Amino acid sequence: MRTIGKFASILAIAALAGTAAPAGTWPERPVEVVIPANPGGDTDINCRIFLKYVEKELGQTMPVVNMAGAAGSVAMNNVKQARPDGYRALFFHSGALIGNIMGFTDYSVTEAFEVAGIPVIDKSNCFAANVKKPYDDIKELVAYAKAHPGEVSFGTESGSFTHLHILALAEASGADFNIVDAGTASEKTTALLGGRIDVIGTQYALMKQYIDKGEVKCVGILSDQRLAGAENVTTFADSGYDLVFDKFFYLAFPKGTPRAIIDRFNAVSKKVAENPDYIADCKRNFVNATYMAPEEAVRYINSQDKLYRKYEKALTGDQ
Amino acid sequence: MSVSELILNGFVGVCAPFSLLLIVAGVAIGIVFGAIPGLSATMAVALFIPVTYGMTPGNAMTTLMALYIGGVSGGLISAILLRIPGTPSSVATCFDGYPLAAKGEAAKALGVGIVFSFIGTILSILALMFIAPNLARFAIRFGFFEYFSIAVFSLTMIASLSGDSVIKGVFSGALGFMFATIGMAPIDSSRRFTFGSQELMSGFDVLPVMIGLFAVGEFIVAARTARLETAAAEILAPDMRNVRGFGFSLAEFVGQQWNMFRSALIGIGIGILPGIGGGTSNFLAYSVAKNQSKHPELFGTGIIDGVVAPETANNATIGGALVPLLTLGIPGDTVTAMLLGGLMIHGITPGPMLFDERPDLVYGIFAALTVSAIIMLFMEFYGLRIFVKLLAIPKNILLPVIFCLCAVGAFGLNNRAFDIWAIILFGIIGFGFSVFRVPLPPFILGFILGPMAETNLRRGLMLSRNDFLAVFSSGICIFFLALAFLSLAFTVYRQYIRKGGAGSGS
Repeated sequence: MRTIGKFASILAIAALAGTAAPAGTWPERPVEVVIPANPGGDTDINCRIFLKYVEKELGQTMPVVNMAGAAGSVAMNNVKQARPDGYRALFFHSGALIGNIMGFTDYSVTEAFEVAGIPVIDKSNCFAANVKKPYDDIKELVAYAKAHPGEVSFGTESGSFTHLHILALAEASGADFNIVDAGTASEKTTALLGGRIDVIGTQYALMKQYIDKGEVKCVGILSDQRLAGAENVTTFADSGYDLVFDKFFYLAFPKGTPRAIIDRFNAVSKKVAENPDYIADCKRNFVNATYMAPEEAVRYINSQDKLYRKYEKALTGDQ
Repeated sequence: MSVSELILNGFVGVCAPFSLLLIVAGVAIGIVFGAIPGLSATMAVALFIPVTYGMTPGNAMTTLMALYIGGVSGGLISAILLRIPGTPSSVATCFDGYPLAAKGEAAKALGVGIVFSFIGTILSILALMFIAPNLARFAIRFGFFEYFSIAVFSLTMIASLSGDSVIKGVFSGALGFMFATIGMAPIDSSRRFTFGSQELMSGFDVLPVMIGLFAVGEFIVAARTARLETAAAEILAPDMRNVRGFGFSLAEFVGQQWNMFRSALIGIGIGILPGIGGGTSNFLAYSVAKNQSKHPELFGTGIIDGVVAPETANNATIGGALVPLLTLGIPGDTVTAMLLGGLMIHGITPGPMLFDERPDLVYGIFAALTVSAIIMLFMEFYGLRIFVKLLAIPKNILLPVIFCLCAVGAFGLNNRAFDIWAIILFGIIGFGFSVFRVPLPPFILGFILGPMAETNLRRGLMLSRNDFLAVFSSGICIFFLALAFLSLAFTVYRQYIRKGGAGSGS
């Protein structure tokens, strides 16, 4: 029996080694996905939920490698320099574009990588205020800020997505906000709950419980439509400021990865995006399951890049 | 359902066989992560969060709590036996734990550490259960300048951690502060001392710095003296035959009561303040214990006071850090930041609604913490006799193995080889420090607190629109800054007296 077992395992190894590696059979071994963030954040959660379904379709595991540091550029450089064989990919979000504007990286995402698709979009970016503040929507916030120039403090993390949002509103409205660096998502929440900051830029899901509890109110959603489950909150457009900033998450391979691999991944993403379980999982986290083919994703990212670059001066200027 | 029923249900839930199994496994893995330099409680939790994605929320939370408790406590083992802190939370445990072990009382040192870790945990759980919501409300009113003031006050602790020479201590602290500035600056993200290197942009993490200074530095020292015969019996093998229970007497336990309560309070307080963790509280508790002691000169020679303070405080930080997490949804330290994410994937958001919506889960967490603490006590009690055997392994075999583990731990932190180079660099610095008898702890303190002071000062100035006087705008700020001033004045005065005394005596 033992010899048979040995023989069988030798056969199996020979069979494995014997298979050639044309791109058509990808993936033959686990595909590592690098996330430029620590476990537990929205990037990590969105990625892991997506990969759970991709793994089932591909029949291969996709281990996640968390590689935080230097606003995501550590992870981006890592994947950029990896062999373009389809076994190392990057999962990141809009932040990469801002990182490029701020000079953390000297390449654009669409030029340095083969973007393989956008599986998740977060349309819940919003401004949240202490419930005692006398403004309930963006129009009132702007009016108040104009009447009290520099008095409304806005908490953000410098060089982050929400920083872009307040710069955009300040420019569109001409109001003077006191933009303060208040750190990470939870640090901003702390400052808001502690009454030390008037308004913060954040995501609805992070605020939901404080809103339910009546401590915080959401004064505006930065998307083209109101948020499902929070229909009473108006959008920026409802207040007359046509500002739409959706946080998008994409999966990208190093430049030069064979087209066949990208195509295979694309086919899988399409299937996953139609999976009702995936859609439900995303909805639970207040994000939207979505599907974009590689070309469409590149076009979308480039259009967003153009939008962000409008605020390049304000972002890179002093403070 | 009444509170007592909820508590009871919590315990019944946790004591289900599968749940208990998770706790035992979690605590054991946590202790291993804590004990191995380079692996920390944070990493244990980070590694196991994805594993818990597939569990029920209750089981997920139970597992993570067990890992957290085991991880924070496990650090004392290598701190006491090898003078290498297993985690940043147990750096101060080395100061008296190792000298005590060197005297042949390793079992006593470990026993004290284990028992007071347990007590610290339990006291903080009680604080979490009964006074949590009000405390958390108070803690979030601490603003940027308040944090800056606390950092400044804590930095004055460098004086009491300096050993013989305050000048060398300040030098060490300043160097730590300097190394912390490498990378992207807070707020404006300008690059500092990166020399065009992409790797340096994210700066150094506290873990590689600590492993390098304490562990790798120690290896180099050991390698240098290994061939010298005199270095053979650096540590006396403990005589385990006479060791009963935890290796210390009831009288010794009673004598530590005040120290224990004070250290637990410091630990809980530091834990509640979001953003400061066990890495700071163990230093602070040690310094305060030393400053308030009737015999401060004995600290560092191997007295149990110096083990009780940091070990009570770092475990008390657990309950403290969970206070803002559970009541407000705000993480108190790096581990709880990850717990937050770990819960959110189950669709549960810790915070004010949790007590209303899922009280079962909240009390389940309390129960999981308590049971984990008890399991930890038992495991380490029976493990004590095994841990001590570590000392019987020849150093030329043990240290290379630990060095490999350190390198693995450093790599595992962010999955990059750069951190392995970092531990070697800081190892060389640590070796240099030991040659010139410069104390290491101020370096770590400067490294942790420097950025905290800088970031909060700059954020505060953004909020006050560059008005420096706003630092004095709140009572909390004035209190801590006054404490800092007094602490500094006291140090200068003591140095002056000592110099004066020596002058008149000669």
